[in-house]
Amino acid sequence: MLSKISKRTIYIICICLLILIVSSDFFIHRHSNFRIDGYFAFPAFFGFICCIFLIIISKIIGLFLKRPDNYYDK
Amino acid sequence: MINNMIIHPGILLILFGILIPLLGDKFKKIITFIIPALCFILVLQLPHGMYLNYEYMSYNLTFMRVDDLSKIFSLVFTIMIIFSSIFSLNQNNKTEISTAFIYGGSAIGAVLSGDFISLFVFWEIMAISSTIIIWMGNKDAYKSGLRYLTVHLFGGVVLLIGIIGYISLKESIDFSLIDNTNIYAYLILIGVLINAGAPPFSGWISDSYPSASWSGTVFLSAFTTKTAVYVLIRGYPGTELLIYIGMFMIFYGIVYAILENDMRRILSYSIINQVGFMITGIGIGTEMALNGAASHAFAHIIYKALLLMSAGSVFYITGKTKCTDLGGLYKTMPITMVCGIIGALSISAFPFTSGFVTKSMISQSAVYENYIFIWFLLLAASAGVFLHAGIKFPWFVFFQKDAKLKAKDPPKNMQFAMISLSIICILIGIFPNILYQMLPYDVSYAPYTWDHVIFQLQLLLFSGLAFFLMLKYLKRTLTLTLEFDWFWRKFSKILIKEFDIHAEKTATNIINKYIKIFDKTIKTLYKHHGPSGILGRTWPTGNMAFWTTVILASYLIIYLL
Repeated sequence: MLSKISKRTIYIICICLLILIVSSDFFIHRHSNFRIDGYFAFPAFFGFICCIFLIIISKIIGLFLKRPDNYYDK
Repeated sequence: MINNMIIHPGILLILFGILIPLLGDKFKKIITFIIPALCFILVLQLPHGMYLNYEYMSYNLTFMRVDDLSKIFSLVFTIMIIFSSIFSLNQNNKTEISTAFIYGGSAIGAVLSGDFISLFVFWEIMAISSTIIIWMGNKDAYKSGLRYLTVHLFGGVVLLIGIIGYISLKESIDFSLIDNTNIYAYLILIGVLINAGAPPFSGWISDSYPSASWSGTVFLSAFTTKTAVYVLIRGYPGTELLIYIGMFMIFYGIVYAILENDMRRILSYSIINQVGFMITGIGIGTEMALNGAASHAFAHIIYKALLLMSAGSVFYITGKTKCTDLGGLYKTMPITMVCGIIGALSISAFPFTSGFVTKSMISQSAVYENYIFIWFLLLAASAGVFLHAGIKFPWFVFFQKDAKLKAKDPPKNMQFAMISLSIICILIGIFPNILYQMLPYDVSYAPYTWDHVIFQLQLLLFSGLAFFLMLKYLKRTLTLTLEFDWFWRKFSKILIKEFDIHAEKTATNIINKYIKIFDKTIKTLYKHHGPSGILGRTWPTGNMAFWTTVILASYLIIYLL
């Protein structure tokens, strides 16, 4: 595993990157196709929400459809 | 094969595929290098037009129709064969490479066909040769290969019925834009969609591809689904139904890949997902959307091969494919990891990779056609792709916990293939015009604008954040997820068992009943004709004399009267 310090450095770099990319919305005007997508940090927000939503949906589907992986061999 | 010095690259490949088993080992290695490269050059210099026309049973077959669309597909198929052959040089099973040549050659043949009959012939050769490649795999391969073959033969039959009907309706075997106002066009569509992995037949991809060998899966990933995409682009552009089928495939792929544990099955699900993007593009059907679908197929074949090579290398070295057994390989397999990450970034359409310049054409065309809802769904799907393939695959295979596996980077030839494909991915990403100038329609789209790059980066990076925040919910378990194929893998079995019990009862009842009737008949016969039966016993002679006298007497009386 990575040492504690380098792990922390990676965290800090990642968080800085996220902040940087969102704050770029202040400086660069994004062209919008359907108005809502031109709002501040829309893609970041939308991507985040969609992923969480997809994971939750998968989990729910998984509840019904998951089986042990020797299911078909029995 | 040769007609005015035009050589059919597909048939050339098929011929050498048949020849390979007859050649010595040393010669074989040279051929696996040279022939695909030769085919690549052949395809590259093909002039546009119709070649190799033959008259057969009053039908005019066209084996080569060269235009931008067929050229870009055959070009990427040959690139694919070149690098996959180099990748698979260490494969001990020699049947695989020879079958792969036949498979790839028939895919090129199908793409170049100008008429339905030759298309169908190459289509079926593909189905059979790919089944043989699957059979070269692990112990489950025989069964899943059979299931694969059944689905494809079924699809082939539906396609054939459609083709026969369509030919008799139109009195022409030319394959071009299909007039979809008749039922035969829809039968052809169903046959083609089965090959594309559309619902409810999506199960065959994730069922059969992962049971092939470490090199076989790489070959399999490219041809079958993308040939179907080609036929759809050619025959069914702008069929609105395809948008919804495509959208379904996109989300189906994401959800199942999120739940999956086996790394090659994750990548198989993402094939369904990516083909969904292409099919949505075909459904939108504008020039830009079709360009997007064709270029996305091109880019997809390259980065999917790259991803499966990276997964294949891990499988080749460690012998494991399940995420629960893998992890921490970044230290021991750094080159495989870097190539895998480049493939993962490309599939997620990260800026400066090939996916970015192709997928965005499809979503942009949704904007122009005012499919607002579809555009938002495509956006959500882009985030989902990063989630299920872009991060999940590298994270669970190369990072996560240290599984303490003894590993090293794979042999040089495998590294060469992976590095070359990584370079192609990045090259297309940085210089999209290389790809754009090969597309069937003129491209007036510029992918690299500041707001597009930032839009995509925000979307993807925050999807990444969601992944790591939700990591504890994504913990891999030793499970599989049921699909549509449950109906023919399990339900049919249950059905047969159920009917078996009743059938046995019914059969015994029926048999018993007839045995009773038979017994009764025999008994009656015995009663009358047996030794003591009225018709069977010996009659005394006196009896006969008596009856003769009676008859004679009655005759005399009648005469006298």
